[in-house]
Amino acid sequence: MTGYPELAQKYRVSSVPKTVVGETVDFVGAGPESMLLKHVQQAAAANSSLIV
Amino acid sequence: MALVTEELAAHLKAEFAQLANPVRLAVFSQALGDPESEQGRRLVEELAALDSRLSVESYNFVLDKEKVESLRIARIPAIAVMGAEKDYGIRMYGLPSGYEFGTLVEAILDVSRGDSGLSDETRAGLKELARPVHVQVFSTPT
Repeated sequence: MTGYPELAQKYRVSSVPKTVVGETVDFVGAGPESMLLKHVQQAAAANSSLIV
Repeated sequence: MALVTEELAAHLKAEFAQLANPVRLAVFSQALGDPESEQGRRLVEELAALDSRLSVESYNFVLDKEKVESLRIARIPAIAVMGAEKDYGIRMYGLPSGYEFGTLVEAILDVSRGDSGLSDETRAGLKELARPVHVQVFSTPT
């Protein structure tokens, strides 16, 4: 990652592709669609607990 | 000199022949602070010139503050890929070079279709989300 070093550092991107969902959930590499959905659901739930 | 070669232009014209609906591209750059971002602008402008269903709006990241805010542009170079009526929230940051150029073309085709290609199960799951979720994919241009 050379384009946006501050982002790479913030989200600890050391290998790509890395997907960051919300601010706290992430995974490296490609995966099945169901896995992406699971991470998105996790991130939505994490956000809601922060706001409450 | 053109960034899109004649050979690539011919290939892209064939790809864009399958565009179902118009696509709007908004590109953000800033010559003074980030000269490299101007390459992104030129590339997108050349791309949009290849098919009448593609339109491009070019903005300055510093001067066009209103657009930067309304389209939620975080950094440059940035490309927003939007439908004529609907903004699906797709933003590409960085120069779309190498493999990422293909990603940009794919995003344009997806937005034109107005269909993510996701399964019914995934769509049903996403409909249940209580709030918007920001998904960021980091890649390395090849």
